[in-house]
Amino acid sequence: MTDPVGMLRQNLRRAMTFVQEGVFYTLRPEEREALFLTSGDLLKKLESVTQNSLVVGMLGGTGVGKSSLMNAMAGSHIASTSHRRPHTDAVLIYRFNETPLPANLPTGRFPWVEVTHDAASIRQVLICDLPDFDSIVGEHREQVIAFLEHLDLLVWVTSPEKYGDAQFFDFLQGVTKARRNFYFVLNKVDLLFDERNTEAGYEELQKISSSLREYLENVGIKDPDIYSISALEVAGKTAHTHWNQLSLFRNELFRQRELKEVKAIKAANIDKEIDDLFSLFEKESLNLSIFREQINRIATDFKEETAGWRDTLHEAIALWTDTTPLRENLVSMTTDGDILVGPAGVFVLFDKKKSTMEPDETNTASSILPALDEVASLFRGQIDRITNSIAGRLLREGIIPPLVERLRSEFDEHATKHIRDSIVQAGMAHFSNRNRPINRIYRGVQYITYLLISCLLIVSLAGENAWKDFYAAPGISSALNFIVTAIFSAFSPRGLAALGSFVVINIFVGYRFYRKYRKIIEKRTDRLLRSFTNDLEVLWKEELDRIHERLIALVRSLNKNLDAIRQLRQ
Amino acid sequence: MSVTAKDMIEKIKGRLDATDGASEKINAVFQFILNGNGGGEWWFDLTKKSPETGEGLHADAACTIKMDAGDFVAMLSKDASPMKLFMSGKLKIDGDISTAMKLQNFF
Repeated sequence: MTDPVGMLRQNLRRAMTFVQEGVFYTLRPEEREALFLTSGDLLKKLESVTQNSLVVGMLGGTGVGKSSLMNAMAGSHIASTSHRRPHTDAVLIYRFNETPLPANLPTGRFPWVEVTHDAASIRQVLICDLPDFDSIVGEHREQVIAFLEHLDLLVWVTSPEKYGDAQFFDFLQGVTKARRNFYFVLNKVDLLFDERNTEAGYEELQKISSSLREYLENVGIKDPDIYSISALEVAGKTAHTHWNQLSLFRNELFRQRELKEVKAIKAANIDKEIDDLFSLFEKESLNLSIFREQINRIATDFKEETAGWRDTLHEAIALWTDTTPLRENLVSMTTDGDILVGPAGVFVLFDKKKSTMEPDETNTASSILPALDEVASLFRGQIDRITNSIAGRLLREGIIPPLVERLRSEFDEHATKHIRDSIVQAGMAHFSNRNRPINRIYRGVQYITYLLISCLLIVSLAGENAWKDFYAAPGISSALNFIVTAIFSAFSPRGLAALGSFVVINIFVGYRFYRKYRKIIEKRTDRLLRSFTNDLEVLWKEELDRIHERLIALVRSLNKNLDAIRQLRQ
Repeated sequence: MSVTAKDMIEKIKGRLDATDGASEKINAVFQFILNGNGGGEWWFDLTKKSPETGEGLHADAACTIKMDAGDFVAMLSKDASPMKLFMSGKLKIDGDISTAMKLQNFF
């Protein structure tokens, strides 16, 4: 036979490690703390299971003859005078004078009276006569219940008048002791028998014992040890009637026990307490396995719903691009005339008045960020919808709210931090000023145009004659003549007309260039936005995949936890 | 288990035969219905001068004792107390219980 104490110790140690390190889904931190403390207490209790003495508690309702039973049991061994309780709530402790009180008995916490005796044959047993369980109330009741914890064996005394008392069975149900460490005494059985008609007595006894057994079975006690006893009958007599099992009971209770048996009795009680402790784990385990099944199903369904979720975000983004001021901001921000030459720049100055910002790095960030935050909150909204649909489904399937809340908070935490970061990163990569292309050809076209216009002005100013001279004899003198003629005629009415047309043409051309420039910028901005929204859709797809992965990972971690709980107690 | 319920029935029969006036003292028919492994039905007729025993059910049984064959063997080997079996519902007596108690002297 394996050592029961050693096995329990191993179980408890495993449980404590699990409480410390394992991941709990349903237990609150304070419950975990309590679990850990209780396990520690039980471990301490296990270590003290080396004493070779037993603490026996006698419990019963009022008027079941508990005191007379005590006296009858003790016989001549213990002082036979009836010990009066100074207080109905006190515990009477009968102790052999050489056996000390168990060290772990919290004698300070309840009222008690000690009776020492010199019957060495029952030195192993410490009998505690507990107050009537139905007469104690409030604080004393708590004390008695707390005292039960220190008992190894429990004797429940009842009588033919009281055996059906529901209060008794309720009380019994709350006692954490191994069921095999209960003894039941049906006292006052003499009430059933009279001298002439033993027949009816046995009939009655058979009936009572079978219904008592039935009641006990209802509170989880199978095959109870019931003794039919008449303490009264024994007083003064040595022989007693056949149905009186007092001596059998006395022998059973007082017999000398091997240390091994004592250990087994105590270990069985602690085992029962550990059972109660482990039932918490079992509750967790049951919750987790249901949870796991649901998450598994949700993960599978989610995979199929991905396309739908992608569509919803696509639509949301389309709506956003139509309404967001981002495009306008981007256009006006990039309209700084960097590729414009000449009079076209004047039109940019008009635009500049609208947006007074300098297009440097920080200003770009501050004008783009609000828009990016909009996108982030759009994503958040979609993730919330997903989370809500998952949470709603879990709740409908009867998953307990703390588990659902836990899942939800994990999703939320992830969504707020991570999503915004990746969206901002993508936005900055697209819209930052640094990577603007320089359009050299466009600049060249402008230069050439303005040059041509200027040439045209000079030619028209110099007039036909000067031009012809220059053409007939090209040389420095004819060229100078040409230029001087042009300067002269600039102040003539014809020249003024030419200058006026020149200005008008310049303004016209400049405006055309400006318009073209705007178009180029708008096109570029649209291209940027398109590629940005494409990136967003990729991000969203990745996010959906990530959600699916998280669900799968959750199933995996639940599996691990379930295994750990299963291994706790073999 | 080496000892069977049938062996025990034989043992009781032997004791009843060996006791003078056993029938007069008790004067009743007992029926045993033993369930489980090695079980069966036996009766003792103690209304006649010399006690009779047989297998099966007796029509005029004053007292029927129902129990598990294993418990029966344990009871007769003094490993289990009849009163304990009675209180735990493992020994059921229909009919005249106090007469059944008289039979105990021959166990």
